[in-house]
Amino acid sequence: MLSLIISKYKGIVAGLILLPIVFYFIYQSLDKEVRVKDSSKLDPIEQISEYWRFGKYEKKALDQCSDIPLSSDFIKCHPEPLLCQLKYSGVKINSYELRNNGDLYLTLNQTRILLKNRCHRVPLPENIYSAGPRDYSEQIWDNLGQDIFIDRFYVNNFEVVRWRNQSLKLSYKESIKPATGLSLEERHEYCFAQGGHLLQSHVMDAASFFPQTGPIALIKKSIYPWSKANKLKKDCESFRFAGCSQVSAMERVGTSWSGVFHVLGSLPEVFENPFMPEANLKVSSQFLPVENPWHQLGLRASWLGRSEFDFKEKYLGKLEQKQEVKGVAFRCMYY
Amino acid sequence: MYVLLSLLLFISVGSAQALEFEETLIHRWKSLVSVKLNPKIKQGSPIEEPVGTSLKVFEVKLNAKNFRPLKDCVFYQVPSSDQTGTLYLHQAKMQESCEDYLLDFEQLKKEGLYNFAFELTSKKLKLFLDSKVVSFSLPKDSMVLVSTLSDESQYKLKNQDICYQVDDQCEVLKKNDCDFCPKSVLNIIDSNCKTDFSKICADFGCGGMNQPACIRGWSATSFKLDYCIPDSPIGFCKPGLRVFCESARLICK
Repeated sequence: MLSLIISKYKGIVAGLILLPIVFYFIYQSLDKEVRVKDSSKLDPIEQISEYWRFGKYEKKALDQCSDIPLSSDFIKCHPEPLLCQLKYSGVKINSYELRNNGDLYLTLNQTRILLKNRCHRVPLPENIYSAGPRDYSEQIWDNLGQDIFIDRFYVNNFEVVRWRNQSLKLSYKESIKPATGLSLEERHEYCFAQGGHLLQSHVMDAASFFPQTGPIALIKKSIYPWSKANKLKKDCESFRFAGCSQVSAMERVGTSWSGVFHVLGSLPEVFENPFMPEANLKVSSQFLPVENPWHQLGLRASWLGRSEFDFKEKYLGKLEQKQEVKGVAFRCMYY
Repeated sequence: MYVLLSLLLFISVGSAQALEFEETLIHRWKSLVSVKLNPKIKQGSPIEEPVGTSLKVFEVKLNAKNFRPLKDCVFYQVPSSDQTGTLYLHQAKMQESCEDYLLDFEQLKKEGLYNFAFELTSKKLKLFLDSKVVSFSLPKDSMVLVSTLSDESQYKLKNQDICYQVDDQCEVLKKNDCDFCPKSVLNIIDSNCKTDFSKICADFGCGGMNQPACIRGWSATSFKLDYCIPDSPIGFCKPGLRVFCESARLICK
């Protein structure tokens, strides 16, 4: 009976047998391709990582959601535009947590992602360096075997608010103002909480002096950060001096070879100086006219940090006049 | 007819098992950090020798839920004339030896393999499982960490704890756990290694009273003798303090 049916409908029977086999092999080949894609090219984690690091968001995603301009460095390693973009793209986040050091934890499905707040740090190349002013050669040190990272920009208001766990919502303009209101002790505490230390004066010098070769004891130091030439660039695009517009923390001015900004001009900046603790303040700033001789690398004054006007006296510099200092900025370094 | 149906059933069940292994691995290894190969095993071609034995193929470093590092030990039982190959893995702690799990088949495994090979580049790890290729991306940088594992063990360090240590020969005595420090990290001088420095958890700086000496460095001083001496030039302190070597570490007093 069965053989009769098979012989009568052998085409259909053969089709019924072959069809699942054909489907199986088609599935296998498709499955193989999908798998390779799943685990590499189309991974949403990679996409999130790219957004976080480079800040290349869709303009429409930020409309009515974030006031941070796409062109600003502030957009990198910042949770607000990332969350706007993920919402716009339809990526569902189970939860997120912003730590007071700026690290962001995202949970999507069963995956937890830690996005580290490291977009604005540069490594100091390993070398032998000389700290202090141009003609000073007693502070020779090296960082061979040490990874040292430096904040490229000043610490800003947004970062201080985040550190203090305040729910204060700042506008973009307020956010990017340099943080100048903390005491010296609070600045140390802030940097510890970020996993770092208040930037050391000799590390700032290493990142500022234009590199030049020569015997260790005679390491030549440039007066200005942009070249070996002793020629001051008297324009507000190069560095901010009196008469230029007010500087924001994340502005790319006073640029050094190492990628650190505000090494000349902008605001006075306080450092930790283990070689000479009193010599802790860079005075070159937007409060001084362009001809002022404090606009040189390596010069330090002393600041006690108790109030914004507690500037005591010049130190290390060969200059005589005293200057009143307002609004002292700071930044951190990391091992 | 019955034989054909059985064959189809067998194929679909086998396929489901394979899917489970690969899907689990794809999810699990999203948190892949690095891969340490067994130098004795050649990559890129099927592993065929020694027949019937189990080998450690490589170790995969992963992040647990709290981003504490863990590792997967990946083994392969090479196929023989009477047995197909089995790829299996076992989760281990970083300090554990994978070889301890060589005969443990209990965790995730894929049986019935005839050809297994792998390939590691700077960007990807690829597994060749008979006719299939499964690929995993290696992280581009250390700024983004991914965790897919459910390990909840707490791991914390406290200030003054050593979170990374090297010896005089620059051998790593303690792997870098400094991400688990409560606050900051500080480099210290506690060996004659000229190319690396140990690290401690610290919410304090260097150069002050009873603090670790700041690092002046070996190259800047051209110092060739043992670092552990009073007034060692490798370190420096704030004015008024001197460098001492206590418990093999340069400190300021």
